[in-house]
Amino acid sequence: VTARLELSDEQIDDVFAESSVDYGELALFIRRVKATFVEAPDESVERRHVEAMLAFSRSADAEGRGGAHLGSSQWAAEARPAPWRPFGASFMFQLAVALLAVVVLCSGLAVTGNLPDPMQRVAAKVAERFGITLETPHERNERGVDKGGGSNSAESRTDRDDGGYRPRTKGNGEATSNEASEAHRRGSRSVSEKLHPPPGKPEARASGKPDAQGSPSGKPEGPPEGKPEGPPAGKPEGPPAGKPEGPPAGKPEGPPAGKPEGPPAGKPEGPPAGKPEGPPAGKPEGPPAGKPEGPPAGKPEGPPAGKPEGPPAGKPEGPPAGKPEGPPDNP
Amino acid sequence: VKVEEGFSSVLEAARNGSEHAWISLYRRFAPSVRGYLRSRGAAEPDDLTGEVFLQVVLHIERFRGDESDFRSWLFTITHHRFLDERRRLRRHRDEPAPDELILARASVGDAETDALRQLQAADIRSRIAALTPSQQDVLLLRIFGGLAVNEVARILGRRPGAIKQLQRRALEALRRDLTKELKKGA
Repeated sequence: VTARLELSDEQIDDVFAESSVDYGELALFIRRVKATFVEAPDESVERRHVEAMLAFSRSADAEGRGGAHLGSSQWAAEARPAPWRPFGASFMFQLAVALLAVVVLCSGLAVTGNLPDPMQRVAAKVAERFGITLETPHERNERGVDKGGGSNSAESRTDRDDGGYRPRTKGNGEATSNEASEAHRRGSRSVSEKLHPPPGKPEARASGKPDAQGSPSGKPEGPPEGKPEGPPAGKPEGPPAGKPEGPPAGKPEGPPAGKPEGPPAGKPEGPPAGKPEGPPAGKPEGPPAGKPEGPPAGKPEGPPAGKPEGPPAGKPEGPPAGKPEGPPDNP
Repeated sequence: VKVEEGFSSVLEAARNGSEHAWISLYRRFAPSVRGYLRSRGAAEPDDLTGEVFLQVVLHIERFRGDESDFRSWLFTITHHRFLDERRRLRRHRDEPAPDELILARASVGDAETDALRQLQAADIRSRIAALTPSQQDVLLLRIFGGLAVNEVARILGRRPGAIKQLQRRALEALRRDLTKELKKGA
């Protein structure tokens, strides 16, 4: 059976018109269809229909039929059935209106920064692509602290983009969370320390906090002081841990800055590697606490802990190592 | 009054409320309309036929055209009334008709002839039902309405090219089906 019908459009018209040309089984089928279904209604049905038509025609005449005459191209549209409308209006129209309302609502909330944090973050990212700066949740928290805590200082604003800063008009600045306060305090402190570093104070306070093993957690590259082959304790780039005019760290009577087998310098209970007020152990411009060729820092009788080029031996935030009044913990 | 003698005069007489004109129009076109509705499987083809002609009566004043236009207009109304009825039946499930009504409407002719006719009608309906709905629309409007491609395109709201493609595919499917049966019979 060939699937392709090898008939032209004119021949197909002939098939439907039941022309005398024999088109095979198709023409036969069409003839059968007509013969089977085309049948005049019963007389009773015809009579009923005609009576109804006449009555309808008379009543229509009485009511006054009229109106513009339709051309043959217009009545097709007129005879079309009414479109199906489930709720009185187009469903797509209602859906579009609902979507538009949601978009407008979300946009308004995003601009005022009142969306939930994850949504606000996403909205800010999306808007940033179009050059629109929206408030991020972080900024919102900061602003809440600024308004509520009254510490709207210049330092606290140096971390954020001033272009995106918008004063909140809602007046709920007092709604500050503990988390936001803490974050703000940290940020302000770090910025102020950067701007005005206290003399003798290590820059990174938190970097020298000891971890569970007793090693300074803030010194990732620094091995414990006192190791013969290791670099000196203390940050290489760190500022001096002690005062420049102080005595050199690693006093003979002071506790050792760290024996090779002893606990690492910087441990809270460990031996102080140098006095805070002493000269920086390893200060580049200070007098070297030990000879370069001398024994490694940390020896009891040796030079002070910290090589000349080494970082300060003192712990950043810990008690000053080798304080005169501090009892040495190192046995 | 024969419609073939002068369609325009019959139409004008129908507009003026002539009973003979309406009877002529009804006898001329009602069998095709009813045949179309029956072939589509309408539940009440007679009632639908009556509704179609009532629509014609209602809008006859606004119609302008010749017999071909009238036929096209008539089948536009028929097709849309059929769609309305099918939509209505989908929404509202019908209750089964009482036996008295079925017996009253049963044909009183020869039982053998009626049985053969019903078998033939069922066979044709099953073949047509194998086509897609669009192909059924095109094929049956062309068969019963005697409409041209452009007229069918206007009724169905599609382009003439699409109608040509639909009718070609419908005929190809029908021919495949018929040839297969002939081979089976052989």
